Parts: sequence; C-alpha cells; structure tokens
Amino acid sequence: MSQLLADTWALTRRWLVHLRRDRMSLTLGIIQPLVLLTLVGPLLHHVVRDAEGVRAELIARFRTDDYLTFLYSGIAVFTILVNSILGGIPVIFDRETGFLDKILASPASRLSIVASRFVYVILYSLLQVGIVTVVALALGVRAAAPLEAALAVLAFGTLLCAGISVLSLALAFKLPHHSIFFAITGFLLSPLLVLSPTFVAREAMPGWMQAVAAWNPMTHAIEPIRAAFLGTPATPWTSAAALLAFDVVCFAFAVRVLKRNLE
Amino acid sequence: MSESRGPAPADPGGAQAPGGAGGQPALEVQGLVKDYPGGVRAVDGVSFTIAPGEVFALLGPNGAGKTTTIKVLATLVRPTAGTVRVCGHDAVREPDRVRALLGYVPQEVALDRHMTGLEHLELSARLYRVPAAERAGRIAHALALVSLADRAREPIKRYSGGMKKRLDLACGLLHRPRLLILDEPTVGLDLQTRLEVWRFVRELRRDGAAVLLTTHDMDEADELADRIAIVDHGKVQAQGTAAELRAGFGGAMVKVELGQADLDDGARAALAGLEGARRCELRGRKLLLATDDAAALAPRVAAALAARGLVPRAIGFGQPSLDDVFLEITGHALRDEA
Repeated sequence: MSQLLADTWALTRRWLVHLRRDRMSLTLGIIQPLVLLTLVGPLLHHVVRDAEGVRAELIARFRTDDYLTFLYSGIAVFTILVNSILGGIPVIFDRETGFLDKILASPASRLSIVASRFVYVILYSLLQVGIVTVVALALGVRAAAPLEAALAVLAFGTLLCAGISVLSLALAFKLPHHSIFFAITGFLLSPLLVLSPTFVAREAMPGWMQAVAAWNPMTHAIEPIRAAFLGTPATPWTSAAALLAFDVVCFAFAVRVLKRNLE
Repeated sequence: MSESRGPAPADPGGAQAPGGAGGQPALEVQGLVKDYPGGVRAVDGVSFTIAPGEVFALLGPNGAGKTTTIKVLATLVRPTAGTVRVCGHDAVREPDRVRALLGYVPQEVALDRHMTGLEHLELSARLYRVPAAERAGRIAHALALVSLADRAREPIKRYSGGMKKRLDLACGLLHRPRLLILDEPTVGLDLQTRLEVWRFVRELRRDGAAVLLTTHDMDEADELADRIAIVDHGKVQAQGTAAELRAGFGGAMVKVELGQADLDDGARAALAGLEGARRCELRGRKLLLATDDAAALAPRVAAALAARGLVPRAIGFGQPSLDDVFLEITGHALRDEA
C-alpha cells in the first residue's frame, strides 16, 4: 500500500510539472469555464430580470430568478466533466511515444498509473472550480447554505470525476490512436452538456430530453450542488446513489480493459 | 530449442553461456514462442543464456523477432510458450522481481518533453524504488557517465537527439540493473553519439552488468558483444563469439569480383568444383568461396578463370566478415531487409 502511494506520488509529480510548464493549457483551461459563466450567465440573466411577465414563469420552472447562481453549478460540473473526460490524453500519448512502456517495465504499481491521473484530475479540477467560484462570487452568485454548497461541490464533483476519468483512462488504453480518442470525446461533450440541466432545469425540458437527461451523470452532480446554492429542496442521496452506480459500472469496465492491457 | 542450423561451434545446444558454471546466469531464455493474433509467429523457439557481466547481441534484420523477444524479457508482452528467467526469477510468475532487476531502454527515445533531464532521472529513481537517501548520488553518477551533468536542469526539448539518447540510457541504469536491455541502441544516431553509446556499454560491462542488445549492424555486434545470436524468422540460427561464428563459416574465404559479362554460370561452374573450395556463392558481382586455406585456393581460382579466358577485376582472400557469415547462415544479406 505504501508502495502504491509512493508510485502514485512519483507519477503525480510528473503531471504537476506539466501543469507548471504548460502555461498556455493552464491559462486557457481556467479561462474556458469563465467564458461560459460570464457570457451565457449575464445574457440569460438579462432576459430573466427584464421580462417581468415571464419572471414568475421562470421562477416556477427554474426555482429562482437568479440565473447566474443557477448556471454556476452547471458550469462547475461541466468544468469537472471536461477535465475528467480528457484525463486519459497524456496516457494515450505516453502509449504512442513509448514512455508508457518504460513505466510498465519498471516495478511501479500498475494501479499507480491510473491513480496518479485520477489524483491529478481531481486536484486540477478543484483549482479550476475554485477560480470559477471566486469569479462567480464576484459576479454576485450567492449560496443559500455556503458550507453545504462547498461540500456538495467537493463530494459530487469527486463522484463524477471518478467514473468519467476512469472511463477516459480505459479508452486511452483501449483505442488504437489518439485521433479516435479525440473524435469520440469531442463528439460526446456537446450532447452531454445540452442533455444536462446546465442551462435549463430538467423540469423545463421536453419529455424525451428529461428521460435522456436522467441517464446523464452530469445531471446527478449538478442538481444537488444547485439545490445547496439556491436553497431549494433536493434528493442528494438519490443523486449520490446514481453517481455511485455509474462509477461502479465505469470501474468494472476499466478493470476489464486495464487487466488486458496492463497484465 | 535446437534450431541452430549452420555453425554454433563451441556449443551445439546453443543455450549455455561460457564460464557460467556455478554462477547463476543473468538471463536464461528457453524455447520462447510468441504468437500474435492472426497466426503470426513473431518468435519461434528462441533460447539463449547470458552470464553476469557478459554483453550479448541479438543480430538480425528488422522483423526477425528481436524486438518482440525483448518485449517479452521486459515483461511487456506475455510469451505464448517458453520460459524467461532473470537471475533465477521467472518473468511471468514474478514480474515485479524481474522488473526490479532489469533496465530497459527501448529503441525509440521515449522522454517527456516538458521535463528536465534531472526530473526524468528523479522519476526513474522513484519508480525503480531507489532509496531516497541514495537518489541524489546515483543521479549525479549517471549524469556524469553520460556527460549530461551541466545540462541536467534544462527541459529536454532543448536537447539534441544524441543528448536525449544518452539521458534515456542513464534512466535505464539508476537502479543498477543486473541486466540492461538495449533495443537497437544506436539506430538513427550520428557517428559521435554512436561511439559514445559503445563507450557506455563497455563501461557498464566493466561495472559487471550483463547487457543484452539488439542490432542489425554487424560492426556493432562485432565491436561490442562477447557473444552473438543470429536471429532470423523468429529463430536463433546460430550463436557464439564472433570468432566462433567466423570459424563455422569455414575459417577463410576467397572473393572474386567479375565484370558483368563474365557473370554467367560458366564462371561459377568453373570455380565450384575447385579443389579446396567448399562452397561457391554469387553475391552481387562477387563470387564467394569458402575454404580452409585461402592462400592456396586464390592462385587456383585465378588459373581456373584464366583457363576459360575470364579476367577477374579483383581477387581477394582472408577472414570472412560477419556479413558473409550472416549470408551463409540465413541465405540473404542482412542489409537487404534492414
């Protein structure tokens, strides 16, 4: 166990070196969620605030007229989703350059390769979400229950990150080439975003979309976080159970793939 | 396996290291087979043994099965059949023990362009469980060995190709492996770097490490290796020291270079039956005759050609090169496929 921790730390240090050296990716990675928050937020906020006639209607559907706070939880979760889904990329490049073979030829624990990416993606996501949160607070986003809200971001963010990043790592080991990896993940991101309650509450979606969104893991991370921020009723345990079930499926798939590739 | 066709003089079984009596071999490979899906047999019953402190070369063209053999040894690929033991530990049953005893430097330089040389060595040291207290000393020693001490803190994207190769080699020996595996260590390197790699291998041997290298370069095998296994079509076709392999060829040879017009079966027939010539083969514009006494055969060759009115451009005699041995054993020139 202590070997696993030492190996995981040795490899995580490498990802932290990347983070420090690759300023461009770091900067763009931090700006990207802010773009959504600062452009989409005020736009729709403006619509909601000024259209008195629809305001009551929107409160009924969104449970708030504070669209920026509503949107914040969606953006925070989307940020974690993007990091997690792209979490396997360095591994796929390590596979292609032969660096992975060098790690695999060492006595380092196999699990540490996956664990180090997971630890890194969580750390990086928390950094990003932290910055998004600071900006959001400056823009006027308020949490009804600050402590619960912070805990919800941590807990549900981690649950989502676990399943998605493990899935991404499994694909990084399974897919033959990075271009296929990018094609698949690029294809998935938009529908995952739109078929989630990021921009619109689930209740306000067309029936068939609601049905699809119920199967989107993002939904079960956004809704409890949003409820903590807005102070609206929620079913956090149901959401947690849904995400846990998703994680179990992802882990089972990943173990199968990794066993075949990392024996 | 006992597939050794052609010369394997000192040791017909082909799997014993010289002087290995008593001491445990650094590496023992027996009957190694690797099949890939689709019925491709990349390695077909390879056996050899490397003694501690010995430099052993797998010599063969690309596609001969060298890299697959090495990947099995490095525990990256599971063998279909056969056994691999490193210092007595089975590579399939105890992969972690074996990994700790091996250093592996793949053919392609595999480095992380974001990291410095020092960070690479630090990572390797940690992954190979070099004790924290010894890390700095071993890293400094490795950097000195590959002459990179003054560039260690620079990101490797500023390194030249030769510097990267040297860093890669240094990463492979931080944990003082009992067996260092170098897959095509000098492919694509300039002459100077190539000579540095050779110096590096000699220094390792001086330190007592066993080295297994693959190459499709005769000179490299001749220059560096204590023993050589000639590999072709997934099999060891012959193995021994360079001298033994040459002796198996017939000890000496006569080379006759002919003009294009004379290259007909007549010239070949005239020479094939000559007393003292054991074989006569046409390679390019040259006829090669294997013999035990080249000095005696050469004048007879000149006379036989003159009797047919043929004037050779040149007649030479002497020791066969490893190229000649390879051609003799595999039936094709190494460089044709390399």
